[in-house]
Amino acid sequence: MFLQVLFRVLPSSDLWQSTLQFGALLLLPALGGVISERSGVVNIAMEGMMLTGAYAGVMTTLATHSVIVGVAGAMIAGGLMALVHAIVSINFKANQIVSGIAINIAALGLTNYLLFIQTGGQGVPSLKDALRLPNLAWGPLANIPFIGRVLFQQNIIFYVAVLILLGIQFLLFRTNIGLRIRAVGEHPQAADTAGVNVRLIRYLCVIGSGLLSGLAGAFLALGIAGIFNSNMTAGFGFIALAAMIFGKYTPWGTAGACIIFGLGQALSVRMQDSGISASLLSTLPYILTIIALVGLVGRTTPPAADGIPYEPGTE
Amino acid sequence: MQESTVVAPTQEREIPLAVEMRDICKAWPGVVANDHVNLAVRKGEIHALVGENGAGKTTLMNILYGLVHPDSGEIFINGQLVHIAGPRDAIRLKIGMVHQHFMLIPPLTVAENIVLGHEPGRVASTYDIKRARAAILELSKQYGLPIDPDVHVEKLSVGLQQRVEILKVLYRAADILIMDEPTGVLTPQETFEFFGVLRGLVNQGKTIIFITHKLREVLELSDNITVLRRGKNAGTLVTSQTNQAEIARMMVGREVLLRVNKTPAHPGPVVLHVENLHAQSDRDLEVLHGVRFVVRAG
Repeated sequence: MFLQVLFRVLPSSDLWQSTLQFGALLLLPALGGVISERSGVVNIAMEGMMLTGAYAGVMTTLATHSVIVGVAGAMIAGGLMALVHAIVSINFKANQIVSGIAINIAALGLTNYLLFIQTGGQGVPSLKDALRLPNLAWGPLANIPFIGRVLFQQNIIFYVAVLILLGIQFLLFRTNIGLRIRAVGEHPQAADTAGVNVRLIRYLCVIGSGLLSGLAGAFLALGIAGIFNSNMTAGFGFIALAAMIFGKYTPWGTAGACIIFGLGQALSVRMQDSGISASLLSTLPYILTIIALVGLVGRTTPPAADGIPYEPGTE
Repeated sequence: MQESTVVAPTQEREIPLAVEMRDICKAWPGVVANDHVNLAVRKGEIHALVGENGAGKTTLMNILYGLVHPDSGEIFINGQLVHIAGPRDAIRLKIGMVHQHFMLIPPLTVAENIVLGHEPGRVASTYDIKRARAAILELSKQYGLPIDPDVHVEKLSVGLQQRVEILKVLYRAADILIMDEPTGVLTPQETFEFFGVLRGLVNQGKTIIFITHKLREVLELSDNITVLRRGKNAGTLVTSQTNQAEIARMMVGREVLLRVNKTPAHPGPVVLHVENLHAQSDRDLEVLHGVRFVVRAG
């Protein structure tokens, strides 16, 4: 029964459109993770930054009646959470995993609390279409059978995500600043003695990862769902983290991983009538993530100085 | 214990001082690394800075390169009083340092390692690999230091890695080169080549300060010697007028036995027997090909 439904669903363009959409949703925080970790700061707070971004995005949009300002608000919120992580990890040299977990927990509590007091327990109203991030359709390209629906009828943020993917690939591997980022993540002392500002680079990368996670939050709340619900990121930030590792800390690898995990999510939604319980199906993306991390991938090496606070000076 | 003072060697004093460090003090909790240390290095000379472990040599050079800030004291470069707040200041003053533990980034290429921090073009622009490669090959030719700019540093031998470190310093147009224990990691052959490189650099007008505790090298390479002992100046010597015994005596503060008389050994039973040992280095080269040996007690 399961296989029957699976083979019916797989060739449908709806499934793949969904796959790419969820893939893009995962890609944004995952790319943020890539730049942060490439500079040597472990960042597992995507979940928290995304959730805060989603909340800030919705509230800002409702307050200003402008979805563009809402997106900006979401990114700023993500950036602020990341700034906290940056100060704690870089200035105070605290354990970066602990800091990330703290931000995730704080984000959940903070958004729930604010949601309650700002709406008096009613929850946020569903956003009108005018206040949502629009789905685009690229004219004649959108009419191509199958591909048209999958590639050319996506939300605007999907296309933004693709541009950001290309941008980050270029930034990391073809620019001088990308060279410095990678140097700082592998051997910060060598970079320091060469005259690179290690601290500044790490700050910029961590804040950048916050901006990207915040944008993902905006995509989720303002683009896909059109509403904010408590804990609506549902662990997607962690799947993004897994995608980054699965993708070996490279932009293209991460994109590939995001598509695979996006497929898991899309399947779990579209196989609801296969007789398997919806709850069990909803675990599919997470199980896929675990399999990917544990089984299929050879040992992935993060940048050599990842997670180690930098102490300038003599040995 | 004699009061230690800097005695200016009796060579021509008309040669200007490239580096002068006066009265440098640096203390960390529990340890005084530099105690009113003075250093005078003439332009174009090879100057050896010697002392036992913990004498304060590396600290003094780290201060010169801006990695460490002195508690007090002054630094003069080419006669001008300067303030060196960090490596960027030192580089601007044309001081370069080759560290004891190489500051190289293994997964990056030779070119990327050399130009890092001073990449051709502006910071925000694309990495101009052509210009980088051209600049490095130019330096390579000028100083007789052949290297392939596109190899990843992790694949290089130690001698070549040191060559990359030297090119790094030359790429930043350093005139004053500090070298911390440069031959510590080299094979005898590489050391011999290194001596040639140093002499070549001096012929091109560079000033070199090198830290070492290998007295034979000091005598073979240097023009003048500054000896540190327990964070203080123990004396300065003109290389052509001294010998190993005198240097060692200054380093340690008493007569030093350079040849140790050993009583004949009486080996006992075997305590360690190693047979057919194979091992691979970090660079996946086999470095031990079936080694075998035996160690006896006593």
